[in-house]
Amino acid sequence: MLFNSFLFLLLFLPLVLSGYFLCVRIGHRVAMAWLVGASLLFYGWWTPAYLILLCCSILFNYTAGVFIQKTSANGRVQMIILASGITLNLLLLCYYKYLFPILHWFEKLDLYLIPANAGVLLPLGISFFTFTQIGYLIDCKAGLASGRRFLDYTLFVTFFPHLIAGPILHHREMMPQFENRETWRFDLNNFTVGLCIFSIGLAKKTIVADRFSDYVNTGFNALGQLSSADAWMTMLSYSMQLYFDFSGYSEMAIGLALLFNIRFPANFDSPYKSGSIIEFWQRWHMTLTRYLNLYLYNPVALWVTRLRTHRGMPVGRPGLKTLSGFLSMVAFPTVFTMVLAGIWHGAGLQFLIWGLLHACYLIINHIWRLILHKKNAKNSPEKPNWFSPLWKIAVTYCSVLFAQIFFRCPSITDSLTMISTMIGHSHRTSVIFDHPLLVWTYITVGFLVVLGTPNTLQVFSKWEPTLSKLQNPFSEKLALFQWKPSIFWAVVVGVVSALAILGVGGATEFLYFRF
Amino acid sequence: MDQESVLKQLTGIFRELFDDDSIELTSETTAADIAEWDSMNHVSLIVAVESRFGIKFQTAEVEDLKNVGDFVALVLKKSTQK
Repeated sequence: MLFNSFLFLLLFLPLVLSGYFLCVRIGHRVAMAWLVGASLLFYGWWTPAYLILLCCSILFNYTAGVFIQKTSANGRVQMIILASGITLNLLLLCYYKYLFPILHWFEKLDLYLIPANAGVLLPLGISFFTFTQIGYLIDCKAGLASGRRFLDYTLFVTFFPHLIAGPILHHREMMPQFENRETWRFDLNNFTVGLCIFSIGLAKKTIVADRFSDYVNTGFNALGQLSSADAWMTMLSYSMQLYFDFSGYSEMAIGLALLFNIRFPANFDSPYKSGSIIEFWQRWHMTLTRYLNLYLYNPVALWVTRLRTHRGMPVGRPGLKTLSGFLSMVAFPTVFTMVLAGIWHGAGLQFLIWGLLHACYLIINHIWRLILHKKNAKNSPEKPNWFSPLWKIAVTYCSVLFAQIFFRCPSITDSLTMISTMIGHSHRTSVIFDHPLLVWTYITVGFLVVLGTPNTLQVFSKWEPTLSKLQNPFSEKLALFQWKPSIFWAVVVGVVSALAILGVGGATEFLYFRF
Repeated sequence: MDQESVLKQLTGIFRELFDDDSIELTSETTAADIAEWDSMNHVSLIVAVESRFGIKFQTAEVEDLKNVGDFVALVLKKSTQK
């Protein structure tokens, strides 16, 4: 079931909400069970068979978690259970996500013939629920997940607002909310704010992202026949589509959860306003960055740094100034993390290139910071600036856009075609878009909105719709943009939701569903 | 070992690692107050503290330690557990 379908909006959501508010009167465990049931229905609606897969995965991981905690006295046994748990999760992911792309690759090289009718359909959200649960197992080993009850755990994994495409949650931020009795009631403020954020997210998807999606498809379907201007229009549209689609989805998830008094972490914080790549990753798909930091980057960086300390080599700034120190403590963990982040997005080599590109960007950014190191100014610590100089934003955006070429193109050859067309190696002057001026207008308006207006979470920041604090909380100077329960905002949100619902017709999938 | 002495030792570690003798720490200091305290240096900081106090942090605890007060509290807790 898609968030942007009439089935979800007009039938599923109203029924689940009414049932939920009836259940909370009976007891909070009943309400929890109701939400689990609703979430399973939500998931099973798409392919019922995969519901079994999801349930097995939850049962397996919960049991593994229990055993890991019970064997805490015996480190080796505990480690073996953890390692097998993670391996089995990854094998499941590999089977559905990577096996057939790799076999197709072998087939192309004449090494293997795939039997007819062989193939699998990617279960929705499989990487999201696998990741969440691997994190949980690791925390069980660290002793940070004791006393989790099965129903709480199941709700944590399946809760329908985040099940299919995130935000990637952490049990330590969700379980306490489930345990708190205050969660299980009707709260007018949360309900209103949740509904407004959901509507804005829906509008971002159906009005903006779906419009850009048409341009992107037109462009990529005629990849070999584009003029330079076409190629730029296509890529800029894609860049807008990706942002509005995924941040719209994330806001819909945040809004939906808030209807049930549950707060999610923020997932987007105006990433295209970033003045550096490091900042970009702190503002784009923030929960993925957090996950990668927690479970990939930090463990590797810790391991390397401990090894260096053990051997008496310098760490910290003095260590980073040496080549071996920089390579081992920054470059290696960064490349390791970003390559895996790339492969996570898909089996193609183009995703590997995307990951490597971002690793290079991050490393250059770190070198830059090392060179431009300023002594700590005692009284005026440098705060992140809302108006980072424009050139920094432009350089950051162009780097991101360049990597997005590989992210979107179906293969490396196509990516190279796109690049060469964009830098002018095309003799065509004709334009494949029917109304190029309209496309440019949309792109310009898109940029004005993305760079010039506060984001949805800032607009609602006074009502604390998310768990994490934003880098740039709302500035008082922009009071006009601050949402408050007033007639003015009722009209604004009303018009936006009406337009959003009118746009639902097509009910297209979200880009991140395939990851 | 008390809060005061941990704070003093932490100040020494910060100055040495960040190559900056002007750093003064209080329990309220956070990563946002010190320009050098970024993700790249954070891990070095953790490891330096580990080796100075002879303790070991869990990987999962690393992200929680973005302010000095928490650092001091966890160091004290871990040192008494030893």
